[in-house]
Amino acid sequence: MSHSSQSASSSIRLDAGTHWICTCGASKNFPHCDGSHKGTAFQPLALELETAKIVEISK
Amino acid sequence: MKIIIRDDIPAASSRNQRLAKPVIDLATAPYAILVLRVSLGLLFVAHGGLKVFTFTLPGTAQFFISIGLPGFLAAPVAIAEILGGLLLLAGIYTRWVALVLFPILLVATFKVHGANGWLFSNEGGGWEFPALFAIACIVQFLLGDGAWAIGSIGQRRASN
Ligand code: FES
Repeated sequence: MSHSSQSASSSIRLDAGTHWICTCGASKNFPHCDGSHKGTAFQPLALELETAKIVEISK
Repeated sequence: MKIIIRDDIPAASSRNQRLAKPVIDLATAPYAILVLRVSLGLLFVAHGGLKVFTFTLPGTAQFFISIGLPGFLAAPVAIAEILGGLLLLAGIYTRWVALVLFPILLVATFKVHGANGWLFSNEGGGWEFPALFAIACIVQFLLGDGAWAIGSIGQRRASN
């Protein structure tokens, strides 16, 4: 992926349900997609959790 | 991009899970609890019955007074033992019955048999047996119903 090279990682607890994970790296609210991907080729990733999980996401 | 997904284990239940798996054989444990429950139930019914039918309640009251306990406790203690024993045998409110019967055994340990020394075969009976009996009650309280308990049938229905 061609997004910025800085390595940020965040560990958060997500409840059961669908979460939109930012893949473009531009979100001000990473790891959640905030719509900043507009105009790029990226689309957020739909993460569906059946139970609450700890999710660690590194760019 | 890399996503790691871990189970979210709340702090409170992680302790239970750690204890439940390695230290207990869940296939046989309910029957161990059943054996304890039935043994305790029979002992309590027998001791309560002894107080009512063999010593009779006035006799028990006299015995209580002779060792410095109030005589009016004879009937409540005998009833508690018989009723508690039956509830244990049936497995109804096992935990709470065991907890309620525990103080009776504490009194038996310290007041009734405390002066006889610890050895069970001492004259009048040493305190080691009532002490073990009391500990067995606490163990029963911690264990709960075990197998074939009437009390847990309703619970299982409710949770299904
Ligand atoms: S903001 Fe990055 S994918 Fe939507």
